[in-house]
Amino acid sequence: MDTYTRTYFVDPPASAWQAMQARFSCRSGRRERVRQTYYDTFDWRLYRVGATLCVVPEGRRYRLLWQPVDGRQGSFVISEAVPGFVWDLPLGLVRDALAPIVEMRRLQPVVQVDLRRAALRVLDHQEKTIVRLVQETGTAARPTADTPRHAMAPVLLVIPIKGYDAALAEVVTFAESELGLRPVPAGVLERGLAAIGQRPDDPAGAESPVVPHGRADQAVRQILAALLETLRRNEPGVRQDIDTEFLHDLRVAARRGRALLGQVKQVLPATAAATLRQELSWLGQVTGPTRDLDVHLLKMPDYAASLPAHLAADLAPLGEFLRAHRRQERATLIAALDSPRYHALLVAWQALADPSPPADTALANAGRPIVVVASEHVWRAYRRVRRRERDLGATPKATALHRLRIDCKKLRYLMQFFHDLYPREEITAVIQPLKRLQDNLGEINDLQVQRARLQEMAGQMVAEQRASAATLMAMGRLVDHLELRQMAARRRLSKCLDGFTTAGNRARFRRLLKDGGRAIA
Amino acid sequence: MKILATYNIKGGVGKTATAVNLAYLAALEGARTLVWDLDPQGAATFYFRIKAKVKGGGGRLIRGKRDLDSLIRGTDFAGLDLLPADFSYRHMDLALDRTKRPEKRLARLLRPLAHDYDFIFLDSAPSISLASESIFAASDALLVPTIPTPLAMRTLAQLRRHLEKEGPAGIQVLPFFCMTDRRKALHRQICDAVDGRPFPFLATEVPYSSLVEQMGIRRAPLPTFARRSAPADAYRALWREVRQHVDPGPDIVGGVGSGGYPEEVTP
Repeated sequence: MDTYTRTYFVDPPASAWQAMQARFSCRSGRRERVRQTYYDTFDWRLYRVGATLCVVPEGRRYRLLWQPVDGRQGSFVISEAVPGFVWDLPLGLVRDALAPIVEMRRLQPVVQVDLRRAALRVLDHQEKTIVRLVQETGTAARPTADTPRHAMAPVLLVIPIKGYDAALAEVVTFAESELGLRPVPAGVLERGLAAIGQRPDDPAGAESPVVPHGRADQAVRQILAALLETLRRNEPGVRQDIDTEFLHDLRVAARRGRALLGQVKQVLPATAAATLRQELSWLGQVTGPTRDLDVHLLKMPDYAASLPAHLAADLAPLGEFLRAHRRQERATLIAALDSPRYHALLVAWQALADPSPPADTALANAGRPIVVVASEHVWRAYRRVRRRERDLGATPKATALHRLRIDCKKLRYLMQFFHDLYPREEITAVIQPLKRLQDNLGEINDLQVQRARLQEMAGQMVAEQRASAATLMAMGRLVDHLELRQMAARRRLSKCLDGFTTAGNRARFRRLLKDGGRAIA
Repeated sequence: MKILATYNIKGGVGKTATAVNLAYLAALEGARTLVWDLDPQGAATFYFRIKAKVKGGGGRLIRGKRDLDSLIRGTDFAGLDLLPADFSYRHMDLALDRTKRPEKRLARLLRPLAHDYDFIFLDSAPSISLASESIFAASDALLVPTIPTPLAMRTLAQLRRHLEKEGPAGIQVLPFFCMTDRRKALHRQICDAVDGRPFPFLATEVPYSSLVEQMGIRRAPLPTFARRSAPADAYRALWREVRQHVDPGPDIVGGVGSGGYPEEVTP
């Protein structure tokens, strides 16, 4: 018999308890009450990998219990504070395990559970405990103050003790065969979430698929609605400055919306679409400076690591400069979000996302099947990328690469919007080489922008009297380092371009978009 | 993983009580802890109500013919396991002598457990022999309970000379006074005379108490049945002090699978 803890729903709990006591030689163990708060990121990164982070107060400190995927060894660390960002956690195994999953996101409480546990020990003739039984009841509440508590489904846990497999088998057989209990996989977190009626939603999977034969205007409105929803969901996090990813996701939603409105023609009323596009461009501009500073701040540990250890500390004034400017830029950003202009943008967007367009529209593409319209547009975007790529020449200029990157991005967005219209394997096969090319172009561009910005900021820091000679020297070395990395990225470019332009990949694009769209229609 | 051995050339000084109580306190903190009862008398095994029997006998185990893990038993306390004693351990020296590099034997046997436990306590039999050599070589620290008598201090000096000549490099020796009775002038005198000791002592003294003897009747670690008592306080202080010398790392890999703590059961 596998030695792992089994969980059974028992309702009412007392009956199974009494039956166990009647059947086995038992003694009551300790009763305890535990308050546990489970933490996760806004986008449920821990939940999605099957892990949990549970926080239990311990005096003035906190015990942070980390449990990776079920069955793997967990660990804990004592912390002075509740979790927030990974870089504020105490050094050690827990932090190391969380870092690659959580990245820049803030850990926030998702559910608080109060558990009452009663233990029952099954004994052998020496009165040695050979199996542990725990009856667990509890209540759960949303972690905000003064929210109602909801009862959790009571469970019975059968916990094995190492070296006593026969006893475990006996108890489990009794529980399942005679009491008719069925094991459930739900852990405390799942039961807590179920009690408060919270479902961990996966933002990536929230959009419902676009139907190939539906009207193009319906489909485009549906996509716009999903993007608007993403924007709205992220706005509170931007306002509260929970973590940098909210602003990033809000900007991506706006950019994707703008790309959709710009790329897909004759589907939505032209004037309204053009106006919203313009307003989204404005939103991009007012949110840009804060994001720019966020990116630099997130890169600070990398920056420090790229310098010799004795110079890393010289970068500290750069961090202070970034934080100070970020405070200013954020104030401007929040003022923009509070402005009538932003409110009008949301209203205009909502109008274009309205699922019931006027039936008598004169727009040429509005009533055609989306798969045909999408295929035409994606094909056009693809041709444009190909043209740009052919014009690059042997030693492409930065501006040419920039334009190629933008066109690749538009193509990629379109392909993501209409992903569901095509057979999954085929669309994934053409997206992969495009993604590699785009990542490479993105890296070249990011490094270019970072270098330029660092040079610009060095000037600003001098003007604001924030930089010593040592800091400027360190920033100079950093710029050199970024240039080396950029050169390395550029050396990889031809390989990425080759991957995108192979005969096989070109044929796949043609089959999927030029012929496939028609075939599916 | 850190390996701590309770050791003294003399018997009856509280080695087993130290191993059992400190191991319990370690597990209570969430550390995955193992006690290996190497004493053929099997006192630690008895305290945990486990049968003093190793399948196939101690000789086969020492020779590496048996998988250590399959012999380990969970105690009544979550996170605290025991490798039981066996009467055949009285021939430990003979069994070790038959192996290659006997002084490295225990370290080698314990190596596969490195990822399963944060602390391993070796409860040794009183002696100075091939078995103790092997225990020294495997351990990160020796906990030496010492009764404050001139004879005990002399024995400790013997241990120091022995370790200087033949002991493994880098082993920490952490003696502490136990079974102290501050009413006795001799105990006071020895406990307070810091100069001239063979090793620096830990600050904690474990006072003489009949509660320690009661462990044999209760068959449980002392803090489970006399949580608020002088010796329980002393063991807690001792463990805090030992932890400062032997730190397994910034965070312990605790047995948190069922989302709870090690259960402190009051028998």
